[in-house]
Amino acid sequence: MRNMLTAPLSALSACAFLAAPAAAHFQVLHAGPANIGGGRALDFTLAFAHPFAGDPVMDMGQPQAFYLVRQAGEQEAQRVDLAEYLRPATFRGLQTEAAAFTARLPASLTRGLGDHVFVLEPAPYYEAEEDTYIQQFTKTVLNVGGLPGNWAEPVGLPAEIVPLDRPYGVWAGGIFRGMVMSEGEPVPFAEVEVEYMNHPLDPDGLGWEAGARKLPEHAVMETISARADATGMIAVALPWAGWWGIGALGVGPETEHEGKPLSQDAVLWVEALSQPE
Amino acid sequence: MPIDRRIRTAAALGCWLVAWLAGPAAAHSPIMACYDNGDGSVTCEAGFSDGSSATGAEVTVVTAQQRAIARGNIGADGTFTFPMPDDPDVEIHFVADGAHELTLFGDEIVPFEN
Repeated sequence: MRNMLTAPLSALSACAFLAAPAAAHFQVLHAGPANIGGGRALDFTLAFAHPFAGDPVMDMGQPQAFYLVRQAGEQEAQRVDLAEYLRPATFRGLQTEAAAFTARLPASLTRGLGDHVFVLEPAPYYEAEEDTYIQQFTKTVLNVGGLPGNWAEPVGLPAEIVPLDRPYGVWAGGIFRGMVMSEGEPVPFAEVEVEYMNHPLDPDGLGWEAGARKLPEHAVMETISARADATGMIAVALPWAGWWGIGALGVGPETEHEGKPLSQDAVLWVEALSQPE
Repeated sequence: MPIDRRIRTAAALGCWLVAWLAGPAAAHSPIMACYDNGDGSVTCEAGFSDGSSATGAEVTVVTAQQRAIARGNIGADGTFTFPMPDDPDVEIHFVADGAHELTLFGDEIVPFEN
């Protein structure tokens, strides 16, 4: 009797593990630590990946937009188009490779104190397994010098997570809160996924280093699933230091692309910081 | 309104006022970064950790012998620019008011990078 139950349960478990990556796509938009000194060139990696499991990585098309909205203190916000810095590249997962992009941004773009909100509007990605398209509007917020700026301001994406806590100033073990927005309006009970960037990037930024930092005992812990509350607010615990991807799924207004279903997701990357030694 | 209710209301307002007044002071430290512009000048940008402006704050650049070689105020754009000193052994003093001061040293000027 026990063996009869064990086999199907194992099969179910395997299915869940195999299915997990399809539900855990994250658009990576990464350039190292969130708190920087400024006045230095920044090397961005843009890849569509599974940051916890490491594989598979998926091909990116030419992004629709890549830009920076920077603002410090009481100064006016400034938007800078970064599309000219995009370069095609190949990103290496642990076992797979895919088309990706890099962007080397000149030092002049990070000279100013304050918040630098980097925004990527990728091309829709066709997910053959599900016969559907995915488009993840992604933000990564870096801060120069500790002067706060526009981290709490929406940039006006169709699908967006607007921080309620500074996304570059959360202690490991702390809580990050944000609002899930669709065209500027909160999305009650939005479906949310959270995933840890479990593999450091190679020095060239074009692949994961081999060897995960941490491995969960159960595949279910690779991606944390949650819902926003009735106001559209999410509250996410960040149990250890590093980068955490927070995604709100299917919250954008467009639901179809080239005759197939489209999921417009919002992704925000948050770095949890460890206590100084 | 009953007296005890008025007392409670006054106390609540008082607490709110104290919290409001204490708020800005609780997280308000000076921030400054200085950059070599690559054209013989240095620009320092300053503000406060709560995002408030440092416009009008004094900046004085002194040599190791404490001789002032440049002096001015943070402008409306949050910056102050001065000629790159011949000797990099300088101190850049930022004084917003009596309570908020900050000093950067010459070797903390971010070198020019394209």
